[in-house]
Amino acid sequence: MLEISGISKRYGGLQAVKDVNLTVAKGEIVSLIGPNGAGKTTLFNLVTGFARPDTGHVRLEGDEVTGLPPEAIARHGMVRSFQITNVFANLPVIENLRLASYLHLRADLTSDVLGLSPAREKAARTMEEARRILALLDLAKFSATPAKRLAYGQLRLLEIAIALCVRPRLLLLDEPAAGLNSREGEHLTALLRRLRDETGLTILLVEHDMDLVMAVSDRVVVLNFGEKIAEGTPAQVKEDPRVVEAYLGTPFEEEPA
Amino acid sequence: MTENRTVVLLLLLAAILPAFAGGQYVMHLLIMTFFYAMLSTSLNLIVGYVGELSLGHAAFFGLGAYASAVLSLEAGLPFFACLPVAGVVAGLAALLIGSITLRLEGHFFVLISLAFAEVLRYVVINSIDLLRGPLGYPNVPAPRLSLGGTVLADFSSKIHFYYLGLALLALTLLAAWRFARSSYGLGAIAVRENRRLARAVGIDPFRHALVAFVVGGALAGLAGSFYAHYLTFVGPEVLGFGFTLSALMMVVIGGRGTLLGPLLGAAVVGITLELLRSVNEARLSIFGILLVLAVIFLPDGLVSLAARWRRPTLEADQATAALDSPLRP
Repeated sequence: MLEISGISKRYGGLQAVKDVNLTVAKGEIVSLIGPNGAGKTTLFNLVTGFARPDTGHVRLEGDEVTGLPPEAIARHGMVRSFQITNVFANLPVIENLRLASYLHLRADLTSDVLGLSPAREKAARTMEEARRILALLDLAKFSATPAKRLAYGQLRLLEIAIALCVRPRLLLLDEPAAGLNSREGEHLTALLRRLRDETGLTILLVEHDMDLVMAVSDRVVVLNFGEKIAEGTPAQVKEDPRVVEAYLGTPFEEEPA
Repeated sequence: MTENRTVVLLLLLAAILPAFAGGQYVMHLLIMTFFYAMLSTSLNLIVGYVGELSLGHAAFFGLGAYASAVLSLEAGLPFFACLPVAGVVAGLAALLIGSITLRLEGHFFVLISLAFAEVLRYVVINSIDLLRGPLGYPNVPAPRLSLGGTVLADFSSKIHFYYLGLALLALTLLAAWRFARSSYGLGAIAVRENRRLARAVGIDPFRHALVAFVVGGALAGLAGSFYAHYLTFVGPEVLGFGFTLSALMMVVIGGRGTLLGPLLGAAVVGITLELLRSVNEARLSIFGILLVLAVIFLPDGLVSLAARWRRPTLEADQATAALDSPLRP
């Protein structure tokens, strides 16, 4: 599904990402972990077009997407969320999803501009799908609430809902559990599994919440100082001495989320 | 929905108004209000929907006015042929200028949009052979509406301009409404609200800003053509910052990113300016103060007053319902 080969990025004197290879198979959930500053978010930015790699390639189902702008990559079916909460804060929840469904609302130019029935039907179908996604994430009752009034946990769910409205083949989540309490974290774990099992979605996530990573991942990739230092099942990675060392020698389970 | 109805209602009221109030002065005031409503509606597409502050809007308005004046005086074309050409000329200029300037955002865009309009003004002032420089074009002929051989309206009286202005305003509002309701308007709002997220969901900010810029520019060109044939004189001052500033005040005071806002803004600002004519020197100072107050106390414009009355309770309920998580950022 996703194939990242030999990707590197340097910011001035800092080698943020160095020669990273990573593949994600269809229907897989892969977690990207590593200490702060390991280059996880940079890698996300490189893959989704928010930054340009110096070298290397990104392929999505065989299509070369290296260096394309973010909006073009979203059209290819690769959609990301952001580490810092990022929604259309001034708009009601349902309007957030309407904007997020943009690619599916577009009809042909004439009916789009004149508001003819093909455009209206398309809009109705799209909004039905948006409401389904809203219900899936337990946000239906906040449909009319302005996004900035939502509680933090619900905001993070709204971000996932926004990403889902683009109907991605590959979903990239940047620390979706950051700031969630343990109950909300468990909820998210169940949700990600459901998304994968029921819709066949492929997910790549950056996460510090090890409970979530261990519970949800098929594979875990560990970055440190921009380089990949380990890769394997959650159990393998947990025991890997290089990983334990990267986390400053502290036992893996006690690493604060 | 209610906003659309209000707009239609206002237009209908304006259509029957001349039956009750027909003084020359009142007519002139209302015609100028229609003109300003067109201008601010066209600016609102860029300022209100895309959210980029364009200080060079007078360039498109001025180009439309010049195109219409030159074509009717030099080529002898009738108004109803000049009008669409003025729109096309202004739209093409917006395409050209926009495809350069809209690659920038924020402060940089503000400055360069102003620079473009000012450069254009100086070019016109100095094109003495080609565009008569500061002399401008006096005696722009009045429109003439005829069907077959019979003249339907010769525009010798203000009432003809009144209905022409109203019709053009309705056309402008129709175009703005369709823009806002199409996927282009949707994309523009997404870019305004959160540029980064808009890109992440597949919306190209540059393309959407450019479409709004071109539609807004073309509509300003139509307003320019109307202005030229109504006031019968076009000089370099139509490219001046004053028109941009007036339109901007109307958009901000009326309400950005709404259909009704620029309309209310044009009426309120236009009529207030007229009422303050007796204190001529202090007029713009008083206006500046009003603008500052409006931005502080009514940032969403006059249209937000109606919304404030209607739904304070509902939102408060939902807000408390959303507060069940102990974690707030």
